[in-house]
Formats: sequence, structure tokens, C-alpha cells
Amino acid sequence: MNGDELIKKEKEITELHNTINALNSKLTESESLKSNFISNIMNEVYNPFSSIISMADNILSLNENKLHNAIPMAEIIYREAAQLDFHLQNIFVAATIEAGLEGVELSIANLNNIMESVVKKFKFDINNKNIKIVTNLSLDLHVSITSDAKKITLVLLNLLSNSIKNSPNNGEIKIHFELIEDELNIAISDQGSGISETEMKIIFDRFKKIDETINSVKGGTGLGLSVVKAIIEILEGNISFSKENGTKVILNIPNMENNHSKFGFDDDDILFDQELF
Amino acid sequence: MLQPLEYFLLPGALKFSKSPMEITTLLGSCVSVCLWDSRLKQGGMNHYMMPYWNGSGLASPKYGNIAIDKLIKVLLSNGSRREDLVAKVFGGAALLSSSDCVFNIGKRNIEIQHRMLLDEDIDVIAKSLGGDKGRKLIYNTNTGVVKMKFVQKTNIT
Repeated sequence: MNGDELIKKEKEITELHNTINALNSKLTESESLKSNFISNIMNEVYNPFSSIISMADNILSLNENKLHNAIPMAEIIYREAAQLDFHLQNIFVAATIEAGLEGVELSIANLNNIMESVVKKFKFDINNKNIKIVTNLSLDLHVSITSDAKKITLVLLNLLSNSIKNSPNNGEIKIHFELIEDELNIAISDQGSGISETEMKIIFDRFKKIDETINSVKGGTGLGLSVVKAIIEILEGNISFSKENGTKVILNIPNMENNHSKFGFDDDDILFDQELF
Repeated sequence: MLQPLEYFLLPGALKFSKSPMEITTLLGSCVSVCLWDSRLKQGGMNHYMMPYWNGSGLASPKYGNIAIDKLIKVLLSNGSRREDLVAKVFGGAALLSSSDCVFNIGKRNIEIQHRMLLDEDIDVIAKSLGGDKGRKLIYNTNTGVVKMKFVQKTNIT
């Protein structure tokens, strides 16, 4: 081996070494994200669970003449159970999407009903922070679209949950719905601190949370927006963020007709059967 | 004989079936690997849109390296032996006009299946890759037969 070849080989080895190092740091990062995720899950799942158990226990031990005290406790149970349900839905949907098993169940998605159920899930947080939810949906304006209602609900749950978490007390969250031709546009804007450009790069990463500090009071699993993005892709839609006095999220969800019905196959098909090999 | 069940496979998803099933899909620059076990007469199919998962978003079978790995694992965990597995691969067309640039997704989708199936030691016994036309596929997981038809550029991924 002459000198030139040696230099070339050495260069190759350095390159390989760098690649392995880069891979290694990516693995380390992914491992630490996973352990963060597990500790987040412990908080998000254990805490509601222990409140539910202790509140239910309190109700059971109430004297008959103090039964009216059960109402605020039942409210706590509802709030905690709704939180738990929301986090579990995210975890299960993320798992089925990663397994490639998530399909589309087409139905008429009525946005008025969806919004009502989504706001109801967070009504205690909304009341606690005295947040005003402003939407253009009304008895006179009904918006519906052919898509997967369950998936749209989970998307809105996640986006509203983020907006509520980031809103200041007495803030306002605007949700505007518009049906243009065959596309539903939803714009959600809050008066929170907004997302910086650096943060924009990681918001769709799974397990990543913008506020990773130990004392973060905002909670969450870090799974929300990665689930939202994956769902929007399945629904053949689009999601974008902008910063204007807070965060503004814009969703475009197309009307999905049943265009995946069976194809007509005929004589000019190319057959790849056993005989060919 | 029982009529096989029908299933439409969406981009980014994966389907395996022990019982006879006809999996249909529509490919543009995406690639589908149809993996078949000749001994147990069972099979599965993926439909990936991009070659590699870069660590952002969910690690779903939308990405070739994940989709191929998951497909092989799902067959092995359902009793298949590696030596009985064969593959048929389709798709990877250059549908975008900018296909000659570095972002030629179709070509990169083709490369990843070639490399991974070679590494996994799985024979590719039939293929129809590249070109500039989309493809419609029907894969019978019981017989391993794939029917394919070229389609014009429409709304395919």
C-alpha cells in the first residue's frame, strides 16, 4: 500500500468514526428523551389516578347529611379522568400509528358537536384560568365535513390543551372555522408567549417538550404535536404555525370522499405470480 | 375456497394477514414491499413514502427503514421462518417534474428496499420499479400473487 492509499484509507476511517460518533450522540439523545417521556407519563397518569381514587374514597365515606359535598369531588374526578383519557388516547394513537395500523374511518364530522365535546373536556381548566373561548360556530353556522371525526377531535383536543396551557389568566382563545370549497380551514390563536423559531424546529418531535425544566408546571407528555402532525398527514391535510401576539395554528383538512373503493382490474393487468420466478 | 377479505392500504400504513386477504394500494413515488411466506401461505405489505426516519415526528412505517423492519418482524412473530420469506417490490416512480434533482424520492425509496432486503437476506422474486407512472396493486397474501396496473399521474403519493 503506498502513501496515497494510506492517506485515503485514513480519511475513510476518520469519516466512519465521525458517522459513528454522530449516530452515538443521536442514540444517547433518543434514550434520554425516552426516559424523560417515562417520567412525564408517571406524572400524567399517576397523579390523576391517585386523585380519582382518593376523591372516590372520600365520597364513599361521606355521611348521608353531607352528600351535597360530593358534587365538587365528582367534578375533580371528572376533570382528572378527562385528563387521563386524553393522555391515554394520545399514547394509544401514537402506538397504532407507529405500528402502521391507523386507518381512516370516514364519517360526517360535525364540527359544532366536536367543538362542544372538546371544550367540555377542558371546562375546569378554562374556568380556572378564566379563559374566554371565542368561536364563529353557532346555531346558525354549522360546519361539517366528510373525514374521520374521531381523529379531528383528538387534533382539536391537543391544540386546545396547548393553547389553554400557554394562555395567560383571563386570556382569550379564538377558534375560527371556514369551509372553502372542499377544504376545512381551522385557525386557533391564543395570547400565550408564542413559539420561537428554534422551538419551531422541535415541536413535532415525539417526547420533546419545549419546557423541559423540572419545575415546569405545564405538564404534558411531549407526544401531542407529533400525534397531531401524523393524524393530519393521514387525513391528507396540512398544519402550520405562526407567531402573532401568541401562537396561531392553521389547519387545512380536505373533504375525503370514499375514493379508495375497489379498483377495476382487467385484462391488461400485469401479473406477478409464482410462475415468474 | 373462502373469498379473501379486501383491504385498502393507506400510505404510511402496514398490513399483515394470516388468513387470505387481498390488499390493494396505489403507488407513485412510494414503494411497497409485499413479503410472502411460501410455507405458511401468509403475507404482509407496507407502503412507505420516504426512505429514512430522521428522528422527527413519530417513528411510523411512513419511512422505509421502519416499514421494512416492521414488516419482517411482524411475519417472523407470526411463525414465519426467514428462509421461507420472499419479496415482491413495486413503486418508486418519478412523478414530480423536479425528479432529476437530489430530492428524487422515488429513487431513494427504491435504494433503501434494495439495501435492506439484501442485508436481511430476503430474495426479491419480482419487481416493477421506477419509471414515471403510478401503479395500482392487488396483493393476495394467501397465494403471493400480485396484480399490477400502471396508472396516469393523478393524486397519488
